[in-house]
Amino acid sequence: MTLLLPFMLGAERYGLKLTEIQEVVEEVEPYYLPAAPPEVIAAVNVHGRILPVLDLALCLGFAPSPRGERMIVLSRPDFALVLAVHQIESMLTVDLEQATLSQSDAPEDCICGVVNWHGQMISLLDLDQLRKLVEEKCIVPGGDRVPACTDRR
Amino acid sequence: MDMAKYKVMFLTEAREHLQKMSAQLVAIEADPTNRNGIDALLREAHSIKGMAASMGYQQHAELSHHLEDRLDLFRQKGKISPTAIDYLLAGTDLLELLLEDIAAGREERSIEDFCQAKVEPQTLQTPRVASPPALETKLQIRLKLHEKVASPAARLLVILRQLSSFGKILQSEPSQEQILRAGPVRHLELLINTNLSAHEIKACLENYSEVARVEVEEPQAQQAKSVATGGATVRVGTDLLDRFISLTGELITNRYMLQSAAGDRDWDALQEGLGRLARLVKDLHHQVLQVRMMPIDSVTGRLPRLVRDLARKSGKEIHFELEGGGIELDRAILEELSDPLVHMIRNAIDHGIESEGTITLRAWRQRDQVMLQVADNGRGMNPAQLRRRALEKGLISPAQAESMRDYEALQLVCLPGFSTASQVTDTSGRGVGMDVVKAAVEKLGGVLHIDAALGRGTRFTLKLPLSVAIIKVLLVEVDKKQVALPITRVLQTIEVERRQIQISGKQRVFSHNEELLPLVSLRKILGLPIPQAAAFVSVVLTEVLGRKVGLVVDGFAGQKEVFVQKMPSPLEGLRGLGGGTILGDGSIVFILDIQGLIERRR
Repeated sequence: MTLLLPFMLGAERYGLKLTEIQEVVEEVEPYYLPAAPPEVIAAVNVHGRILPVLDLALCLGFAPSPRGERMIVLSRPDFALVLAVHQIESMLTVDLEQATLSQSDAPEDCICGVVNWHGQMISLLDLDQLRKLVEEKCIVPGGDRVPACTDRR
Repeated sequence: MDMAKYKVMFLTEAREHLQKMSAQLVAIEADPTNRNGIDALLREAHSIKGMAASMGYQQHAELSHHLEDRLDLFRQKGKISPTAIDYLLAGTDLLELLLEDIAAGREERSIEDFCQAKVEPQTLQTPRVASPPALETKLQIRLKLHEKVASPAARLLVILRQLSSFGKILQSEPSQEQILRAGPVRHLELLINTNLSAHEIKACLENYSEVARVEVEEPQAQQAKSVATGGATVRVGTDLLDRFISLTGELITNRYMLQSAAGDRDWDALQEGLGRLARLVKDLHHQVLQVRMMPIDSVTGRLPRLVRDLARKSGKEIHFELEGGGIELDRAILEELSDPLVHMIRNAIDHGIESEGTITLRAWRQRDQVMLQVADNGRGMNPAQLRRRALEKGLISPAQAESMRDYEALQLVCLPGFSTASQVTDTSGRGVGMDVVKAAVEKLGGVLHIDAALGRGTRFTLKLPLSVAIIKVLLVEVDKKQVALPITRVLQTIEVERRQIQISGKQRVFSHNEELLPLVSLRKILGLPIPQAAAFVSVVLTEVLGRKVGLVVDGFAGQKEVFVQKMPSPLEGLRGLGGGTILGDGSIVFILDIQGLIERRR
């Protein structure tokens, strides 16, 4: 049996395994993070560490909707990030053995499986895919021309 | 015992000794009867031998022993011949290759061919080095069964058994026991040592109709990781450690004092305690920075050898001088500088010096910055030619070429895709290089200047901060937010009256000390809304591509010394963002690299 933290994105329910989460933070002050892709909306101070905040709904192409006060801090060292979602629900115990693992026919959905919990579907968020997605968004083409500011008179 | 830790130490120290050996050999080449030099070489070889033997690296120990024997013979003769220098240098190269084998966890390559060769010039220039036995390779296999397959565990076991007949299974996730216990598992991930190719294994596994997907590859990512973590050790003098201990002691005393002052509500004592705390923290900060400092020598050690080899290859006679090798810099900066230095020296050999000349690497302190300069006394650079070339390559417009001053034209060699070499040589002139050097220097918060005089040589000067971990920044306001600029990139802050600003074409310019300088808006660069201009505009004078530029901000919020945190992966590579810092009130401010921001907007 596995502990799962469900959260809402629009009308859809997603879940992350407890082992993938460091903590859930509440009412943290967001700070301006310049030069970042639009999905990375802010930076927060989590126990003295600067972590970027990813608007998960925006990143996965959902219609914009309000973000909750609470945010999820991921525990992976290669993906130190805070996820802003619409609403975090209370923890569930599910049997992941019964989960349907999805093939990666649509990797941009970032879903690695679906759990049926008393007749409700919970999509398991695929952090590997999400990391790739964020990585792609962070690549900005470098300049190969003289900047306009040398262009004068 | 944790051998991995000792291995890292061994690798670091052995590399240092090898660097010293090759630098010493190059020095002896110019002065073959230098007795002290030969003695020093013997000592280095002896140390390496001892270290390798105690770690059980047999080939390494044997080869250093062999070199030590040869050196002893030369000591008796009182001189080393030029061919012997080549031989000994080839020996140190082979020792470095052995270190690579050890670092990668491979079996050490054979040194037999090398040791049996006689000291003859031609055969020894490039010793034939046997490649490591390519019998077994480590492969990583990931496979997934189809969703609909019944009793997947049993099928996975069948596959696991089949794979174990191909070679030795090092690791399997889930393991055989786990599959037996856990029931419906559909994934299998394992590491195998095998003499079959990835292709062969894949073909075999794809034969099973139950298998939905198979990936077979060499586990590269893991190897890279172990190498990366392997390099990060620092040696610290015991006196410095003693100072840390005594500082810690003082901090503990200070804590008790503050506690009791708070308990007694004694405000005077509290005030005094806080004052002492501030001094202790400042002292600690200073000492910790000391730990990170390393002399420039630590990255220039291999340069004399590099110059010698390249000079010989290109048939030029080049003298190499090093000044100020004892100047210290933050290790993080030095590590980033190692490649740029090599590149600038290669440039000087290929493009600067014609047949005979001197290359000087000079380091000196200038207030709280370190200057590093690579200078040659060769042919110099021709601004007119550079302009023409950039124009031909479409890197600048005709108008730009015409209005460009000579100094600016020299900086053109830093544009990506610019190369003045009429033919590609082995070492440089591929059109990559100076742009990489410049990017590396600017990422560290430094500046690169190029000056040259026709027929009198070229100088590349790097202006670098002492440390990257703790830097001084200028806080500026923009759209009610704060961002920081490294103080090393700020020439001056000024308030410009609106009527001083003129429009020239599409560009806003202002006159400063009788110079007409372009203005760029930080809001525009960051994609923030642009308000109506006020009567006075706050401007940060900075330098972009070697040219002064006025950066328009909303206001200044003072200078601060801050500790820089790198952005966590995958945002660390974000162009234009130099990291972030947490201020005293817990707020976060990000440090901008203006040059990077402007370049990425193109």
